[in-house]
Amino acid sequence: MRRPRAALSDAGAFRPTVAEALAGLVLVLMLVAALWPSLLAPGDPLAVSHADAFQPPSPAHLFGTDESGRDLYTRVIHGAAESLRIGVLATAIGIGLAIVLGFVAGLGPRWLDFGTTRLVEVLFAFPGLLLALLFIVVTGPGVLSSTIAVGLATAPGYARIIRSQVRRTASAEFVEAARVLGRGRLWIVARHILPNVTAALFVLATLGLGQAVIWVSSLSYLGLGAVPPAAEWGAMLAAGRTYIANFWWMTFFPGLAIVASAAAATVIGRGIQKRNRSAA
Amino acid sequence: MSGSNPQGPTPAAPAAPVLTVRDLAVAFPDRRGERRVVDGVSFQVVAGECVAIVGESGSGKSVTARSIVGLAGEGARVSAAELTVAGQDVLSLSGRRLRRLRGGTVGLIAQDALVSLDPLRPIGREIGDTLALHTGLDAAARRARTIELLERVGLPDAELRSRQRPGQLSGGQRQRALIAAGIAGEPELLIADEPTTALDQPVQAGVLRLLGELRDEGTGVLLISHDLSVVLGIADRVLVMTDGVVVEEGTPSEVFERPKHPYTRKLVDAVPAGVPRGTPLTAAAPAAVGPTAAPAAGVERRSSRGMTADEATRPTFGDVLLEAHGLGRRFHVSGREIVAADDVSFSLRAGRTLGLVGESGSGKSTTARLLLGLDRPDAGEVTLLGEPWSRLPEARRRPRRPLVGAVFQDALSSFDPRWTVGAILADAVTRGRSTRPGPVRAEVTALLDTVGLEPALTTRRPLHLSGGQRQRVAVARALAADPRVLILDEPVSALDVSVQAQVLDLLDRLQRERGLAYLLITHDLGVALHMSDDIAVLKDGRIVELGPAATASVTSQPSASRPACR
Amino acid sequence: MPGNRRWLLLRAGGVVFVLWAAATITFFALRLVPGDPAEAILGGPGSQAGPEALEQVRREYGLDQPLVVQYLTYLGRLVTGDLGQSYSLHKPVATAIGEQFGATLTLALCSLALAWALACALAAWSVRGGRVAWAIGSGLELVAAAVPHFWLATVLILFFSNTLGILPPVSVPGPLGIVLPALTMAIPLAGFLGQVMRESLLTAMESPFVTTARARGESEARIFWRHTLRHAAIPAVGLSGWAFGSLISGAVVVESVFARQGLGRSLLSAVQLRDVTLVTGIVLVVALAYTVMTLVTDLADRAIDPRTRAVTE
Repeated sequence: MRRPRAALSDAGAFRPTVAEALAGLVLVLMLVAALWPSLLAPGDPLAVSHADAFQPPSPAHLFGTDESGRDLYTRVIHGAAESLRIGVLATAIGIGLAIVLGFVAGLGPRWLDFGTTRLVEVLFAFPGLLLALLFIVVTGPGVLSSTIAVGLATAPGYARIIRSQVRRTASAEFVEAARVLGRGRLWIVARHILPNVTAALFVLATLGLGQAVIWVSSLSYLGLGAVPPAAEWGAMLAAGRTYIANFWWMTFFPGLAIVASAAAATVIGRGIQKRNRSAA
Repeated sequence: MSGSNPQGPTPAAPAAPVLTVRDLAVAFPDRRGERRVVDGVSFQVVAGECVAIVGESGSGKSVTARSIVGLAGEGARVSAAELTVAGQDVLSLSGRRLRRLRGGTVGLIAQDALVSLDPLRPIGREIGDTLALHTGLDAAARRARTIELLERVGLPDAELRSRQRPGQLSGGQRQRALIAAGIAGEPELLIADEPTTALDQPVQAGVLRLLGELRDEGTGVLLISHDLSVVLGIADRVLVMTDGVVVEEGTPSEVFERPKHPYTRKLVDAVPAGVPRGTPLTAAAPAAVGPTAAPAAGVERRSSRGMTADEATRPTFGDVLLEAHGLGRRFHVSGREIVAADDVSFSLRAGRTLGLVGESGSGKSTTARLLLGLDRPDAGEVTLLGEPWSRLPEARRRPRRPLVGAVFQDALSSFDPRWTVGAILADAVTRGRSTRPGPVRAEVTALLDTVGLEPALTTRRPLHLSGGQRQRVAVARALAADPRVLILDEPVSALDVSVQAQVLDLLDRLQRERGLAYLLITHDLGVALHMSDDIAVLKDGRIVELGPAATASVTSQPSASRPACR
Repeated sequence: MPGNRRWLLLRAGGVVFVLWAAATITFFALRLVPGDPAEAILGGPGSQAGPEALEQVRREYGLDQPLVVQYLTYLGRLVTGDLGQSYSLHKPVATAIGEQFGATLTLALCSLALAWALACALAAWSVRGGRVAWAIGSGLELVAAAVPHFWLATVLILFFSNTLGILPPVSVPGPLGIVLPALTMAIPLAGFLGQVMRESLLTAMESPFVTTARARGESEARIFWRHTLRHAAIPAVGLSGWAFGSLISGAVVVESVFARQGLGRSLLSAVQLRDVTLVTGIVLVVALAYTVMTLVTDLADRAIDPRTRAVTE
């Protein structure tokens, strides 16, 4: 069976697939939730009402209530700001670090490349969350430290990709052609290497955002990041952990929000990647 | 054909047709419905005969060949008045009977054995599979037969080779192994689709000789190729295809010495082999600005950039412009040392072309890079207009770089994929300095005109140009700085013959108008001898021969001169 | 083959280097904790350790010695397997790890096997099943890869334990207790591996050697199982090393959710209690296991695919 051909774009045409359109919608909703939460959920996320504790989903409370009677729907919407902000920050830290490492390794002299690659390799030896946990045990738990921790833990992966992209572009034939035309190194980096790598960076950032949201909320779930009563999704999940058996909505809906945003970011990231490949 | 008989010639029994094709049509679904790739093709192949189909890319020759075994491609709609192989109607076959036809009655040999053989499996297994499918031999007999087959195709150390994977063999050995797999089922018809691409000349000759032997033994051979010289030495009959139809048919001598159809004539004329230096290969006169306009604009530009006065004058024909003195370059790759250049010396003169030929891996590209200052020689030096060139630090070299231009082999990868043609040329014209857009645009248009392209192309990206257009843009870019010397690294090897002819004519005209010195690197002897005044032969990094093209020893090689009929 | 030996030597050297660097990082991790390192070993600032306990720790760890001496002693002790003493568990770190390692390893290997099976099945089905299967397959893989472990765990518990009641919500000894945790770990990994396998399956199916196989008269089924599947599996094999690491990282969450004994859970409580020595000990051991696994998968990759050898030559 052949690879299903996506609507082949003529130079410039940009037709989103169904999945991409949905993902875009989700992200827009998330953005609105993050910037103007009162638009979608006019209530107060911290409003406690013990009489209404543990209510299942109903027209009055779309997502149900938690152990203190707080409306979950409102909390999920208001939590978007916190969770997304942390996710963006963690991604920014990770990619920022990775750009420095990747470019230094990709463009620098061989010894610098060697050293930086070794450093990245060492960081890689700590899989997944472990590097983040190591960081947290040193600095103590909290929102800021978990954000930095996730950034640090994701950086080596991005650095590797950026470095190989930079290397590949730097040794491409059009760079040699530019040298024949008499261009200087700095000019080549600015006019040829950066634009070609930026496209990949964008993809990386989008895909990475999805991952970062998941990791950050995982740390909160473990009690190492944001803590209740903060309306951060992971924290809500942590609170709901003990009540899974009877009050499933406390964990289900915040988790759904996490999955939705992560999946949406991934779909969009892949969509950009596909278009980069066909346009370039 | 028949032996001499003192009582007069005995009429030979007509050989049975192994393949009969009548009115074959193949169409593929398209955005707007259907696209006919093959439209009404008819021909026959009898046992012990070699029929060749020649054509350029997109002519439909490959699809024709593959539809004979039902492998035209995904989504293809194949129809024919008759498509018979050894008495069987192919179009009515399916499932097991079709699979038995494939490999058993018809063997298909694809091009580029590196990707056509499973890289993970030893070649002995690939051959063994064919034997298992089409013969009743047991495992031990299969192994023995595999070795026999490998020896038959001329592979030494057959026992050892059968256990090796394709990546461990050379290009020619792989192709022979592929042929062995193709004949393992003892087919009556052998289809060879471009069996000699990516092979060096002497290796090509060996593979063709093998196909000829198979033909002599009674197998019918259908040979597909874009390379006319390949076909001439071995084919009994030739079909010329373009745009899905056969435009000419006949014996090689008929087709190539007395072509009837204008397309065939154009194709034959476009072959550079044997055409004397300076004779154009194409009939059409390229769109041209007057010969004086371009150089004059160049002079204006250069004096406005403040170059020294003596460089603004045009050199006389024959002046030495770029010289290599004893260049040496070695590489260390994982413990082994590769000699890419060893005591390489030659000079490039204004208005003259030096052709640099050699097999792949002989060091041609390294030499080009040394001349362009992209790499530093370990020994010797390069001088430009008598002054040091390779010795200079890059900063001191940069102001003189406009004097040396380059056209690379793969035009597509020599352009930044995100830039449009207009951006590429404007960048080459302004050389990074900011200038007003008006004069730049005018100069870009003039450049495009010089190479025979319309100004409308400035908004397109290289990916959306044809191969010939891309190569012309590459030439335009090289000309933008008004160079004295052009290094041309395999400038036409990826192009179809007719497009190749146009580009070669363009290069020739530019050289005469501007007095450029060319270093033409190519593996194609026909191109080299047509375009060059002098020839240098490179082997393992050393120049083994250097002299005028007319007396070069390579002229005696079969592919070099106008091919004679068999 | 000399090339192989050379490669192996280089890689083994790389492994030693990485482990040394990791040990150095953990060495400094302890000393970067704000405040007195002796206090940190005993539980961090706010541990309210008595002065005699602090004195004892200082002597044991040689904290009053110059840094270089501390460092060399540290390395020396690591080589002999002495990872220090865990204050929260009141036993040597090495012992604690030894007790928990087996359970986590079992979980990781079960999950890896399950993930592989799911990924192969999904990839094969979606590729051979036509457009609808393809769309469903890629959708499933996308969602699977985007699902965090803790949410998936709660969903699975909800479904299998609360609704269906066939599996226990917490880990119990015996094979039944491992099903849900392994499934939780396997699904996201299967999503990722499945994507990789599908891509490479398609690339393999469009390769010229498949045309040659067809021209030989091989049937589609035979081509699929004997040729393309092998090609498709290669990148997934290469990824298995990374997958192993990601599984151990995931075990931190999964073991907590299912209240399952193991290295992950120990690591989590160690971080919560700020038992720095235990944390660094576990992290180092995991780094060792992970680095060795990566070397093993690279070796397997080289053995299976001769093209990887060609690249380095």
